[in-house]
Amino acid sequence: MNSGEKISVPLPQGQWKPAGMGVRLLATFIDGFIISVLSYPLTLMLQWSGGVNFQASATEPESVLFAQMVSITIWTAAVFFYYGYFYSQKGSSPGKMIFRLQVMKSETGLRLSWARAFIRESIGKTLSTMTLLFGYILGLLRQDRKTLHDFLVKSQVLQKVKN
Amino acid sequence: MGFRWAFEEKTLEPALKKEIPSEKPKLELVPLNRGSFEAAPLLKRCLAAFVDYSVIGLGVYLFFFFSGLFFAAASLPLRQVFGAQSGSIVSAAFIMFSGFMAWVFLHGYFIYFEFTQGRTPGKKIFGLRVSARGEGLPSFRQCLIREASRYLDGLGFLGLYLASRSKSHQRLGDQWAHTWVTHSAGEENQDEFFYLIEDDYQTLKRMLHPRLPEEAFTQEFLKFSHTRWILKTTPERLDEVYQWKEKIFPFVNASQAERLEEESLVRFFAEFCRRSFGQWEREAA
Repeated sequence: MNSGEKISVPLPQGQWKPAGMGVRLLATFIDGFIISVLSYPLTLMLQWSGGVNFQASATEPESVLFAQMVSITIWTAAVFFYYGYFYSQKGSSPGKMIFRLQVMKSETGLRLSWARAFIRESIGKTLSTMTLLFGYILGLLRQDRKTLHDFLVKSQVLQKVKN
Repeated sequence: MGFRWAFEEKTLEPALKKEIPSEKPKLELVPLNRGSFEAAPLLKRCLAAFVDYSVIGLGVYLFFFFSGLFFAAASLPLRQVFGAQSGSIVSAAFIMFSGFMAWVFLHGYFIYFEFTQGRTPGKKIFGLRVSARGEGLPSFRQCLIREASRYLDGLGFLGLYLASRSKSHQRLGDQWAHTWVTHSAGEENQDEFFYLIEDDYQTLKRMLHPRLPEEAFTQEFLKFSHTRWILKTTPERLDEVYQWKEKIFPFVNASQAERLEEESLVRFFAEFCRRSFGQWEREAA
């Protein structure tokens, strides 16, 4: 059978390009909002059970500190499960899916593991913010739009655009 | 209930049917799931609604935040001129204006996306579509009816109850507007397939019986395919594709692989490695 008779598989519609910082920011807002809504019932349950007083006043510094630590723990657990599940199973989070974004390993295009997803979203993004937003500004300056948290876990965010 | 949707995207199935010589056994082809739609599962509809209301909630929150700033700034000079009572008038105006705008945004969001695209962002994520049978996209009137009946459907989860009782999972708004919310697995997963569309991938997977190579080979091969077809940072050299094709042959059904164009085979194997190696990695972790 010569080459002319061979079957050719059509390419999928659209092509991939580095995702812009604007859509990534919007996607982060949406994901943050969803995580807040999802973790709110747990916060309410803890408040009602009397275990944690989230409305403690400044005159009770120990209660305030404890409530803050519980809040951070809830948020961290929510981030771990939310991003861990979506990045490893779907390659994207609901906020990112809306804009057809995919988070992948920059060299091979493989999906991120739970651990990488968690490091990217917790430690990575905290670092990007703590450096006076330099981590995010880096994404604006580079053509491949890689931010500090992308470099930390060797990831890249791509967007599928129509041809 | 299921019906078909017209798509521009071509699939491999007709080409395969045409190319198979009569003396050879016919390949077992998977049914097209990209073009076929089924009644949307209720869980997916609920999840889509959750995402949509989250987007709306975020939009309304941001709107309240910025309009609040504006009204607060506007009330300061008014207080100085007309006294403290003008503050409560500004507050009332703020609540009425923002409430009205939030109401417009809530309904406008659903009407705009369903009328122009047949699906909201939430529905898009889960591969759902609102369709008017035989006509494709719903008309503006149908979108309005769907939207107006949302209040009744929301009363005591009446819509959810009716949808669960209906074979085609229609809520009251769907029944009145003669619309159906349908689901397509192919549409839901379309952005997860990089090198070829899902139908072609499934067809070729059955045809070629691929096996996953060892880790080092897979990593090297994925680096090549990712930079060539996804990032497009390496020049298009055909000899490289031929070289990889030779290396891939031991891992697929070679007699069937001969029937495929070189680039198609390499792209299929890249998708296979990406999916299977990722799964292997996750299981190993």
